[in-house]
Amino acid sequence: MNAQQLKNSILQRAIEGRLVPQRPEEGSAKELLEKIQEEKNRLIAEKKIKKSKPLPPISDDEKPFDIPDSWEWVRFDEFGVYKKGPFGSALTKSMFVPKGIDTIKVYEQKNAIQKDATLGNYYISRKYFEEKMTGFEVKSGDIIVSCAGTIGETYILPDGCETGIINQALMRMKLMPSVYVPFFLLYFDSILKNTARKSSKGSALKNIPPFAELKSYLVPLPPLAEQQRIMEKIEELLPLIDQYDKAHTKLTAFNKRFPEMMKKSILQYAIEGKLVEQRKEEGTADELLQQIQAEKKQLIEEKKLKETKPLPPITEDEIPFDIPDTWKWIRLDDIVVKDIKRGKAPSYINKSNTLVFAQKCNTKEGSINLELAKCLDEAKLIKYPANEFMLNEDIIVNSTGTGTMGRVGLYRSTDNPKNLPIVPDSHVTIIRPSNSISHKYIYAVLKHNQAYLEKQGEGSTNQKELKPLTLQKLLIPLPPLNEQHRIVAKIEELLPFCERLIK
Amino acid sequence: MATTGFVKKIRDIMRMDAGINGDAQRIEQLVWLLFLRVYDVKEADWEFDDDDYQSIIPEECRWRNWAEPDENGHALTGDELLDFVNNTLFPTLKELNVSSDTPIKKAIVKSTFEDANQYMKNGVYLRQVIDTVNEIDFEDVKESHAFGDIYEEILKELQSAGSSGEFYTPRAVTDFMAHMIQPRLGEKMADFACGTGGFLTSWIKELSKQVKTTEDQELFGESIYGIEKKPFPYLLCITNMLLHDIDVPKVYHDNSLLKKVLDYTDRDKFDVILMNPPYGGREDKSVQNYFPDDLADSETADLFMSVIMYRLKKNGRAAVVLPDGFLFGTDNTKVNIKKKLFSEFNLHTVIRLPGSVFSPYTSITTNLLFFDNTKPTEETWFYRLDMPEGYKHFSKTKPMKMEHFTPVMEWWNNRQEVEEDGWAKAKKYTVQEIAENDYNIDLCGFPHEEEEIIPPMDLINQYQEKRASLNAEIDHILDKIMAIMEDAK
Repeated sequence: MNAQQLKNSILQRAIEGRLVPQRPEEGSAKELLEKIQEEKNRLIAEKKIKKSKPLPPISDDEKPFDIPDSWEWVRFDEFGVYKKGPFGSALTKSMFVPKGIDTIKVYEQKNAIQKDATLGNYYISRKYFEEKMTGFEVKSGDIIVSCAGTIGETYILPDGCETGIINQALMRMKLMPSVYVPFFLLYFDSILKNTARKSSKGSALKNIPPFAELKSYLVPLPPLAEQQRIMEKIEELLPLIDQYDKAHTKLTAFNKRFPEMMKKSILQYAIEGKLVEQRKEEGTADELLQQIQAEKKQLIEEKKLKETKPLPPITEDEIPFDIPDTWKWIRLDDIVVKDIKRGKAPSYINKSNTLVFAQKCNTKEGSINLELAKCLDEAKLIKYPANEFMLNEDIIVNSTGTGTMGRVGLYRSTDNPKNLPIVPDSHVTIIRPSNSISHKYIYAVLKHNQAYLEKQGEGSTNQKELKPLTLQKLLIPLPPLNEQHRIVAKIEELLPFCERLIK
Repeated sequence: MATTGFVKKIRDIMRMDAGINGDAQRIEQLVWLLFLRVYDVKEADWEFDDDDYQSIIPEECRWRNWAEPDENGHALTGDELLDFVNNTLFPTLKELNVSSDTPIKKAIVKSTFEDANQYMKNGVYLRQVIDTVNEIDFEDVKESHAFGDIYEEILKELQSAGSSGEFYTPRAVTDFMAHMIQPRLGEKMADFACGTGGFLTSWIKELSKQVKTTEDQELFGESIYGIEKKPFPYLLCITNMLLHDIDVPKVYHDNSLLKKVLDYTDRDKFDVILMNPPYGGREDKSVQNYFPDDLADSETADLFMSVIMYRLKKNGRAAVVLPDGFLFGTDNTKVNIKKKLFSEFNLHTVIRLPGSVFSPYTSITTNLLFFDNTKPTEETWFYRLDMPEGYKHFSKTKPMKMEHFTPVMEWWNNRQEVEEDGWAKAKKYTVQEIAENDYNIDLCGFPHEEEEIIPPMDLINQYQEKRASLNAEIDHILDKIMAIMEDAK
């Protein structure tokens, strides 16, 4: 239940006459209604307002709910005189003049929405006002209503405000003196606004419904004293609804944030060596590292891997947290069997049997979507060495552009059901760890570093890119191999629970 | 000897013993061994001071006579040792004659052994454990709060630190608070959740500088009061106090939350309270009955705050470590507690501590609240203590040190508002400003804080706690709405 629902429900109760008890000594709404009608007739007789077309009597079918016996159903039209602003062509910017002595203010929607009569600085000349615009005049005590976009916002023009006219997006309401304005506005604000929204015309920009419709809306009218008691009750409830709104919003935001925090927490815990226990018999990361170094040396000799410039040794200050004794801090470059660099800039063709992996294939939701891949012009295939083709469990790091840069994904051959050859484009970097290492573990470490990588872009705002060196230097806490597998299994067991929390 | 190594070594030996199941029993076994050893060291002091000193422990059961090797390097071991411990030592110590006249420092032996158990079944392993305990240099222990370390280490092994809400307060923090509170001889200081006695020892150390005469010594010995709910930290605390020359430690095995706060009289009040109450610890719901309705909730830190306010003497001073949640919280109970704090006490200073002070036990962010029972608060200073230069975070190997408090100590006596990058680092707020902000006193916080990643257990605890607090707040508001709607009928 959100605060608006709660408020609506209370307001609904109010206009059904069930928020405060009825009191016989307060008389009936009939008396009040007669008074309002008298006032209106007098104004018509005095030619101050025009007589409107009589509306059909209220039938029982029309009444949306039962009201107390002392109340009356009244058509909206009875309460006052309503006027919409001039047509657009009658009031255009070319008619506006700077503020001066003989100028008239043009009120706009923002005056109603922000409840401030001083906003805006459009004026028309008194001459034009007197020629064409007198019908749209508004002054202190009139109510202006926003009619386009944010519809139904009401504002009573305060004492001392400038006399002006309404523009095309406003409606003016002049209420009969006996109408109790707070209750009327309450009704207008809650129920009418909702009804109006539902039936309002206009697709993109919602407009207030046609006048004929609006004027025929039904208003349940309580006796005056009861209206005042209803308002008091509501004044008492509104701050509580506000409090509820705050607390509820906090709770919702908090609940929404939690699963993501939980995921991060699990990953962090995992790579600190706390998610699973250490086992002596599984050896040490040092042994594993030596094995990989031998493997890399071999590849370099076979010219399958370029020898990278030696990276600086890891210093005490770089180390972000303590790891178990059997683990070792290494740099990402120490364990990859493919150079850490971005793919080639491809030439595309409409259709071919070789795919190109683009950043967008590495989706925001954390999965890989190859339907978004493009096709490579196979005439250029000769430029691609064998190790450029993506393999199962390659890790992908989006490497350019604010908003996508730093995103980490794991490519599985099952993402590519037709098993087409696929190469990375020049905006993604492929990380291919040695097969003596759990790729999924390295993926978990990189995923954990995603927030960090997202901030490591270099270059101007629109051309941010992730330098290969940033990735090569990245610190990895390396556990013994079997422990890596156990960590991955535990993560895979836990993360689905976080996913379920999201729903 | 490093405490990490000590605990690990003991654990490795005990693991081989068939009699011990799990860490809880390991702790129990270790605690009484440590106690006997410390007690023996203390008795040597007492004998030195008093020629007529008589141990309550029969001669053959004193540590020096059975646990330490004799002049020839021989020591009891194997079945012989086991037989002695099971059939002589334990029955004797459990059945010691203690009357109401027995001084506490003697009665302690019996109360320690009443609940203690001897689990080990292998005399050779037991001998190895005893030898390891003999290796500890107690002069070092005094210096380094090592009991806290040992206990924490064990807790960590048990993986229970997070869920029980017990966190060992780093020594730098207890020392800083004891220093700023300026102890005076003759004052009595209390900690109602004293753990292994971190604040008590910091207070003692600070106060001991003032001891010059034997009268001073007496006042000094009487200056502390502690309560601890859990048996093992309690025993470690007693042992710890003995080591610190408090011969009659007024430390009690009890739960501070199980007394009606309204029943406290002047006799139950203290000149100084130094505390780091447990956060997010779970207490039975019935505990709330001991508190006035408007101050009762499930957060132990809140309950302890109330206890502190009810037990602080007129003109008394307090310094308390509290989590951020206490500052932010705008649910009714927290607001009521804070209102009470601001309207009855002078909360003059709040220090926002950097994150990871409690690392690696919890990553919860905390604050130090300094207040006294002199007058209602008029204004409160907030000061943000930044991570010292060159540190990204504190850790077990790079813990917070006393010197890291230098900036705040310099600021303390010469208070000025400080702004950094457009954010307040130190600023004074009037109580009106605070009230207008619904008593959310998240002021002078850390502006550029990156999203912090919290260990899963802590995160879940925090989540449940915050959700419960928000739910309680929502229910409370809805109840009010219901009540207003009800009387419509």
